[in-house]
Amino acid sequence: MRISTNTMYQTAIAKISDLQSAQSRLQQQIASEKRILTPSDDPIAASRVLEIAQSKSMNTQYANNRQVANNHLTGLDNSLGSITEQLTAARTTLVGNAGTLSADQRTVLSINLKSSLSTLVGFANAKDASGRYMYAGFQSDTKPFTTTAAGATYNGDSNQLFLQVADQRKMSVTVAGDSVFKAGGNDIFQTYSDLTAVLDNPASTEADVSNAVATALASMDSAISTVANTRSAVGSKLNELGALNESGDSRELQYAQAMSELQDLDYAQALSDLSQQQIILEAAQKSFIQTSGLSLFKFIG
Amino acid sequence: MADILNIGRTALNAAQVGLSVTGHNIANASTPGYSRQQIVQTAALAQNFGYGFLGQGTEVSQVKRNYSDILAKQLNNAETANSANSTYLSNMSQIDNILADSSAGISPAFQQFFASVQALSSNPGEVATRQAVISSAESLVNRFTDIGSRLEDLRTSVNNQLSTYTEQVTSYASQIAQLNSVISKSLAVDSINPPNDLMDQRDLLISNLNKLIKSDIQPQNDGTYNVFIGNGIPLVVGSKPYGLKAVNSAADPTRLEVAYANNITTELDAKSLTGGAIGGLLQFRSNSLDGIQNQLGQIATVFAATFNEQHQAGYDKAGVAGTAFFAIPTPQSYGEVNNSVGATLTASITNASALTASDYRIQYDGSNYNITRLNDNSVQTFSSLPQTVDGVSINGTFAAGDSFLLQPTRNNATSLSVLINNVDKIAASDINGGSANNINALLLAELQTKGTLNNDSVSYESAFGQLVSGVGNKTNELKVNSAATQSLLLQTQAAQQSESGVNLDEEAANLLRYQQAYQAAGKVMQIASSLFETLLALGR
Repeated sequence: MRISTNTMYQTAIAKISDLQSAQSRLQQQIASEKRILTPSDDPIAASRVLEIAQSKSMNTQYANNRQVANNHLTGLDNSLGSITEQLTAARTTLVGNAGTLSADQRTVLSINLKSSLSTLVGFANAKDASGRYMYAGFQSDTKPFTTTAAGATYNGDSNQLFLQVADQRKMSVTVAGDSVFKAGGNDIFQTYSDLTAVLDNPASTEADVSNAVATALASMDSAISTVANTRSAVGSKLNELGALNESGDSRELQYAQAMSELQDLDYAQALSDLSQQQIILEAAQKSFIQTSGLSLFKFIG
Repeated sequence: MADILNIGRTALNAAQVGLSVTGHNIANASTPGYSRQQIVQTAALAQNFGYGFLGQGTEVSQVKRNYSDILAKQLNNAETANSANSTYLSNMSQIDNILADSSAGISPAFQQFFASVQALSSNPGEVATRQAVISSAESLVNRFTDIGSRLEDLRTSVNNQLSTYTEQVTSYASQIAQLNSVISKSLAVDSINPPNDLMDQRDLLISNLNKLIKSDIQPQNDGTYNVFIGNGIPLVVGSKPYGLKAVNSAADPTRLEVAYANNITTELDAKSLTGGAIGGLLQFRSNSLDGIQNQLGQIATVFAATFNEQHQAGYDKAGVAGTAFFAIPTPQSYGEVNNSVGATLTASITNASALTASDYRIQYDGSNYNITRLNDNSVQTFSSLPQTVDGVSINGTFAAGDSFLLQPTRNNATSLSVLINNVDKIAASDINGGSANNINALLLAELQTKGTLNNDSVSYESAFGQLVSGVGNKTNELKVNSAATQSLLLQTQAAQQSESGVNLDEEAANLLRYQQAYQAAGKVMQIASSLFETLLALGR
């Protein structure tokens, strides 16, 4: 076939330009550490990467939520522990004061109980790490319990804060004050007040006092068991969070791996491709110089 | 002896012509569109002297250009196909690049926004978490606006390119018409010897024209070319050129369309104009850009509408019912230029989930309203308005023959905005209130993966993922097509050049050949002259 001089140049230039653009692409890939530079490089992988990025981001967010949940529940666990101790101590005092009490003993017991009550109300009005009331339901800016003559009134609501701690798991991480301190109509604060009222009343008979103590003991037992149940629920949620953290971490790893497989560059391959293309490009350039140097005109004259 | 001298003279003359044609070829070796020329040399008519025919030397009967109609036509076809593909590809690649940046795209902004909503749900009373929701909403809106406006820039660029290209076509048409006239006059004088270089120039113009738009060439007996585009629309007839012009579409004033400029300007059907940069641009716009912009607008609209709906179901810090979080963009509509005076169309989005990524045409024929969904041309007919079609409520005043174009989502990504700027206005709680009340925040967070688009079947991010993979697939397809047409073009060019191109080595050989012929002819004349000297010497 007859080749025109133009074609010789054009073919060589087209080939060299192809090789150069392939090389620039490899360089971009190496610089960005990515196999996929634009969606068109691998449309399916490009949209998969977006999906996985979303799952990964949500997984991270659930881990953050679990951290918050963990803070709430650990705070609750500690607080419920203290409440149990306080109630148990009060109960021990009561049991130790069974039988006939002198007027002085009544006074001492009453003072003891009042102090215990105010400690307990203090616990019920405890704040969490971010300075919000733990036992106020959703009304976390409102002090949940106000002391009155008849114990303490509840100003919160019965709601619990639920957090999305995993894809399909919403976990309650707070306990409303009324479900702890006034569970099933057993108002522990009122129990205290009722008892101290009897103790403080000089007209109370011995029978009045022993009845009141018995009623108080029953109420305390019930309260201690409520708190214990609540605390064990908190404990099992903390355990669940631990398990969810583990599966979250393994998901994180899985997502990272999937992303890497989809978009990361095989360095060894890329570098070997690069040097191979360099050789081809050099060869193309050299052969172009040599063939274009072949001209009959050189020999005329 | 006079004869010998004369024979030598014809040989000298032919060698001279050969040298100058060779020189012309060398001079034009890299001239675009040049076809190499050759002399056609024949022996001069011999004379019978009784003892036989005696040759009278040589003569150059023609300077011929090496040109093949078929190869030129193949080359034009390859040029027009390649130009269309590469124009489509280069525009599409820009969208591919806009969506390529994974760190600046819409996806990370969506993730960041919903992470902030999740954080709100785990700490609804905190001012900082509430503030984060507003600022991440702003940055998500910025992403939408940015990508939306870059797509809109591409649309403007299509309009500008169409203006430039149509002007070029018009200019080529008038140049071809001029050359037609010169060539036909020249051929009328001498029909044997065509004006080679002028014909090359005209063929180059035809080739350039084909790079802009596919054109059909019909050579006439007088040597002129008639040029047609589209469905047989004449661009050049003999020495009369016609022109193209980019005009505002009658249906959509924001869109330039190619029009035929004769005495009156007629908008041409974009589908009939194929090939070349113009064909590639028109295809890019109607097959890709329109749909992509609509899809992005659809995602923006559905996101804003569904998020608003949930936000309005909740209550803010003060216990007041939530207000709209985002401003939902409104559909755009354009009346046909020759609509009756007072024709109006109003449209509003009533059910975002039912939205499609299509445009619509609403026509009234005097008794019925025909609403055509333009991406699949499905028609719904109603006898009255208002009607709701695909989530858009359509109302208006029409006279018979009026027509409107409705774009429910076209520019919606750029017109999205955040309405809530006070952290206390974020409706994180349900009606019961309380600073730890996160019930509505949880429901807002769930929207991230919920099916919301296309009748609640696809989530925001999946829809965006589909958009990205759609763009990727199309760009990839165009890359493959473009590589194919490119290599076909190279092959065709090589074949055409093989016939018409100049090879400098060949010309060098010709130079030597004609130089030697010239020297030999000179020798013949020298000998004739010395013979004559011999005769003259006899007389002394």
